[in-house]
Amino acid sequence: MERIKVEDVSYSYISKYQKIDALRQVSCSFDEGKLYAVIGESGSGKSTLLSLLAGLDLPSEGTIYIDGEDLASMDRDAYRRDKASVVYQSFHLFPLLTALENVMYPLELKGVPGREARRRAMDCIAQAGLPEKILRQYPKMMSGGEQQRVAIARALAAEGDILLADEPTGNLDTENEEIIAGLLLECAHEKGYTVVLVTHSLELARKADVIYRMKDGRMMRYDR
Amino acid sequence: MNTQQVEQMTGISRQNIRYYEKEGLLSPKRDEGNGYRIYSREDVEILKRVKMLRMLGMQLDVIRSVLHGEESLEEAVVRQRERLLEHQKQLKAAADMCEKIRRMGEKDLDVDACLEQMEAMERQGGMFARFRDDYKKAAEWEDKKEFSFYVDANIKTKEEILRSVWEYGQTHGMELQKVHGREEALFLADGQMYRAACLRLRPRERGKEEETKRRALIVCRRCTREKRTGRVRFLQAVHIVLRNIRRQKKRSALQVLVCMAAVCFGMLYQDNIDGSRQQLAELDEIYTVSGEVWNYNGSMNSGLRIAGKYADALRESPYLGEMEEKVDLNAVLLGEQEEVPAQAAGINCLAAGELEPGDVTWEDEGESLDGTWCVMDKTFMEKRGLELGDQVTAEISGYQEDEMAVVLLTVPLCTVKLEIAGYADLAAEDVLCPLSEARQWFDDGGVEYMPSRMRFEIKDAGKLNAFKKEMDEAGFMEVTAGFGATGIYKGNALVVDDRAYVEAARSIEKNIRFLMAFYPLVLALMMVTGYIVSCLVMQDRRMELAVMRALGTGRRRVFLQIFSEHVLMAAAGCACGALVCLAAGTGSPGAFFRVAGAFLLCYSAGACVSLAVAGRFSVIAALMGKE
Repeated sequence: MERIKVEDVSYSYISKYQKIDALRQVSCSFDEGKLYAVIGESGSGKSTLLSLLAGLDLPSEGTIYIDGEDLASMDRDAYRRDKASVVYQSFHLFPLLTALENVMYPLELKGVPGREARRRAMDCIAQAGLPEKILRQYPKMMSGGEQQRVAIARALAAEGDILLADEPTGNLDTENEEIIAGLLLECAHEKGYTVVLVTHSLELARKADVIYRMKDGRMMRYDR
Repeated sequence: MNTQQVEQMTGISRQNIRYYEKEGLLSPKRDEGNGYRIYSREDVEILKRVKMLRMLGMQLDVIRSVLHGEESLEEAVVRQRERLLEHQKQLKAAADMCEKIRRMGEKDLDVDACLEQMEAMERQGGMFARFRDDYKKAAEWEDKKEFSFYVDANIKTKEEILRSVWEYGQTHGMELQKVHGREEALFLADGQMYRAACLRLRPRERGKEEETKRRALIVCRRCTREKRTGRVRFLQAVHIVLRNIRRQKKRSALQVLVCMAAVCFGMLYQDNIDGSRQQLAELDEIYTVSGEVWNYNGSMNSGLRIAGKYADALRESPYLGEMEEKVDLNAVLLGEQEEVPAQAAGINCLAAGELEPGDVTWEDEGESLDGTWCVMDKTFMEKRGLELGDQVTAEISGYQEDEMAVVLLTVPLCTVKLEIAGYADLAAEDVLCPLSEARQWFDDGGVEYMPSRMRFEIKDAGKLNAFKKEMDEAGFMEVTAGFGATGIYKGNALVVDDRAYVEAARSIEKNIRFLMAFYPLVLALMMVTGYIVSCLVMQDRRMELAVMRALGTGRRRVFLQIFSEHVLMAAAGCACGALVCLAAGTGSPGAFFRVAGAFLLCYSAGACVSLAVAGRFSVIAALMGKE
């Protein structure tokens, strides 16, 4: 079932008094239960596409449909709370919150009572393969791999079904890259998430069901 | 094996498995790494056995006894068989009742009799209801939070999800109710709202054939309260704000220090203003403003005659305190052998005669100035051989202006007997009499009474201008320097000794005006402090705010959270500043509340502006580390 549809989307912004065309008439779709990889060189517009899929901004031209509904007409804050979660290369955990509190954050946003939020957060942390001792640790006390798994646990806690990952293994070693890749695959194939993964790594991209390639703001399907 | 595998192998739902675990029927091990349950083959066998015995209607405590070896399986099933046979009798009785009702037909039906029999059967209970009860108990134990099941179908829509749930519910004896008019797949189970979601599964490439057929997992989760009460929301928000403040120790401490310094400065400033105002209010206690009636051209040596209207204006003025009044008289003391002229005066108080209370030696120690008595000059008295208590006869005369108003002429008033009540060293006069008696002499003599001198003190120097205006309206003039013969006796001008007071008051008022003029600047400084502090904090926390926005936190909530942190720290700074100032003796509690209120308002306004401006940043750029 098609979850996300990108139709002739273009996006440009002003940087240092210069107009940058980050995306040019990009069209693609993403189905549920599949892992999609978006590869390309730096500056090709991969992360920009991901940000638009997350509803962090609206395209200059074109439309993005989520379950058939135009993203521009939706409450994008609610969309990010309830449907889509993003995982970043730099993890972006809250430095002042413990791992458990970081994962509880999306649940608290939705109004889940404290005890229930704690229980669900602990489940998500367990699903991400993290030990209990991590619960009370702050991000600065964790390794990169652990932080990224906490970030994924936070994304799972949101209980959406769209997971967007922007270079999640960019700052990790090979071993952790495998673990993270496994988690993303599990989300797509076992839990039925629509997972969109932006990556430089061709090896990681080959694990995906579909690969898109971006160059100079344009997208094309990648033949393996 | 994990829970999912055990579910598939035994056909027992996850929540039932957990319920049996809670009831002590099995104890699976836990994975040390992630805490997941690991079921052994023995656990699976136990579960199958439990399922078998439950389907025969055996109670859980009996099953537990069997599993723990407290009772043999044979004994347990024998007893259960007896129960089932008993139940069978009841079912047979029910079937017989149906046959009986069929044969009676509607016309001959005895409803009461039938009911009585049927109610007796119902009290026996249903056999297969026990399995449903297990679900209920399991749901109660887990607070009815979640359950799931597999379906062999291609589920796409909400209706298909709900249809699957209904089929599952019927199979498992659940009491389900539909919820209409909602976009999500919602239903009620045992009065609790649940949300059903479908997870489509990717067909496995290897594994058991039955696994590849299963296409979807339906997960039903109890809806948590999405709308918290206002009180719970408020408390949760306070908890989050306090947690953030507590964990940013250095930043919080710095903010509190800045606010404390600003409040201390504000308190000092306000204290300065209040102190000046108090000084101004107490100025009349330090400076005495006095005045005197003069003639208009300033020449007093020839004496004065103050007309009635001027004297009355002064006596009736509400702004004056003590008044000294004196009238010059001429007296001739009539002795046995000679007549002695004397300068006399009528006075209303000792001060009018330039005397202090201790200056007079009295015959009796009473100081009443009423009655026909006098105070005589000591030298004058001794020269005449007079003593205290002696009575003297005097011809009293007053003064009047001639027709040209150039000279003063004496005018006889009356002859009186005066008792010498006291003596003193008098400066100008020989005899001083009570003014009330002197006024009576003028009346007796048919001469208009006009005092020769009137001196006064103003009660409240702050009302000086009002007093002067009143005297202007009464006709008093200002004294002008000059000489002239005409009207030199007229007491129609005022001299008020207010120079020191006015200078001091002007100085203080100038200070107050200066401080008040800069008051808006002080408030603006407080606002700028709030703006700058907030800007600095926001710069530091921009990434955190971007992540909050990326996770779906609305702008309003982000703003309120950060703003609340600022206001709380400003309040803490106010409290610390108040303690410091009150300990140092600067300012009063009233002044503190004014300053704290003004500070909180201005600081919050500054912070508000800063947050509104700083909140307009590109989340994408912040998350990507670009500006």
